[in-house]
Amino acid sequence: MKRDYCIPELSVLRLCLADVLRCSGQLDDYDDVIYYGELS
Amino acid sequence: MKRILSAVLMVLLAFSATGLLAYADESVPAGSVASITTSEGQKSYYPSLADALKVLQPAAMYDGAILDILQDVTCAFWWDGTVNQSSSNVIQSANVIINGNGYTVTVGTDCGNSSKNFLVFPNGVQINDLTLVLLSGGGPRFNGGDCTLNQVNITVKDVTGVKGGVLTDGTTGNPSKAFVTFYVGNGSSSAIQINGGRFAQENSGERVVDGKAGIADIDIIDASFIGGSEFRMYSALSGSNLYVKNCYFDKSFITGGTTNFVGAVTLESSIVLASTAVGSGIIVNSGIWFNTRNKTVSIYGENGLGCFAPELISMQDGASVRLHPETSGIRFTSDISEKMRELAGSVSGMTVEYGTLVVRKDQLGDVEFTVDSMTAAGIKFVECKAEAGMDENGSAYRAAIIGIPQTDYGNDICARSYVRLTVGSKTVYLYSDYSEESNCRNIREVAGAALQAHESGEITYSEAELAILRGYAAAE
Repeated sequence: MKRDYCIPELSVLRLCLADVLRCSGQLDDYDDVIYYGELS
Repeated sequence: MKRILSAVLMVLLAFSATGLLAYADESVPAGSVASITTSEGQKSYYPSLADALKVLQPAAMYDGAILDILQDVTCAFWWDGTVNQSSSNVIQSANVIINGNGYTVTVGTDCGNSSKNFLVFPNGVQINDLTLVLLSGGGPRFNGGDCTLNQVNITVKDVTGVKGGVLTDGTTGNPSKAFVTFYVGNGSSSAIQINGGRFAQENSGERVVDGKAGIADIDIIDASFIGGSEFRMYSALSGSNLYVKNCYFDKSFITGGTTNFVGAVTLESSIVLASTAVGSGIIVNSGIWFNTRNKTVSIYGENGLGCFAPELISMQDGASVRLHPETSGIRFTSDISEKMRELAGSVSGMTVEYGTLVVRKDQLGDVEFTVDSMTAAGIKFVECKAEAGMDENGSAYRAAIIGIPQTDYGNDICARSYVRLTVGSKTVYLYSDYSEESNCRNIREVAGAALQAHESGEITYSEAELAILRGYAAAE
């Protein structure tokens, strides 16, 4: 699985976006996820 | 042509017979490397850092002056190589302020192991926001008066014989082969404060800190000391106190001359990687002491203590978009340093957990972004433990916040990386650096930036992904 997914910094934001995620097709499953409601 | 001649004439007039650019107004002459503003507010510009420093040499005339560095500087010598540090006569003007303004000064391309390359401040100085790279020779030396370093980084490259550093009242002795030195020779009262900064010795054969301290109070807050052979204060007169808070020492801490150090050494919320156990005379009120020789660790202070550890754990600036079709959201990514992974794998009896603290910015307010502070303030936050989000190398992990209601697309979410260490019944948190600018984002702005990247051709998204991004960016 390709995990070197970060692209160079764009303006002030470092965007580790999903273009290469399509290579594996599943990389966005590999986040630890919390629900926004847990913060309120 | 007249304009050209006029411009040339202006430049020629600007350089006086001494080679200085001197202007009294706010215009900045081309090629200016530094400026000096007197305590009366008169400003002059100089074509080299050495020229500006020489102006500060005489006593009294420029007391309280401000030297601003206006660009990155590379110079063979601080000075002209004729001033020996032992004469302590370089910058005689008292209490000058040097503003690095974020620039880097690289010194010592042509002086080798020369004690003539120190920059000596015998009468107090404050240096702000400056990075020094020492290729050879020595760094700034503070021989008297009060010295304050705010966000000053010093890196000594891989050369032998580098001398110099931070010291005060250094009228006797000659600390050698170190670049940060605490030194008080004759018992004059002085104070040294180091706020922030990173002090790195890339030549492992030399000391990080070498010092003789007499009557001086030394406070070091939020600083990192990397590499070198040891951090040392020795041959002290009574009365010195070294107070260390939120600092990181990656090598050794107060070894060698410990038996000669008379003053008190107190550590708060700091991390020490040393080849020895805590030495006598050192009080660790709180923090972590890794004995790298015995591969053991000791945790001090209250349970749940937090330590600032940007050398061990860090969070990437900004955020990204999780483009999962059913569970999209905003993502923060953390990096685990090689040193942290080395410690985790080598220190016995220590449980290591990585994770991400997540909180809404409007709820965090001015409260410190730590577990204990937020808990005490009753703030709702989440410790998102790294599990599925850990990469296969164990060097990075990701946490995503999903299910954000449309009404909150513009609300910032803040994140901070942590390492949770447990030894026996003791737990301590190591935290990454944190700032709102770097670590707070809302899904609308990040999605908007992603769409801009798509429109500029930097990234290509599928229609399905674009629909997700537009859903966040366009919604009000």
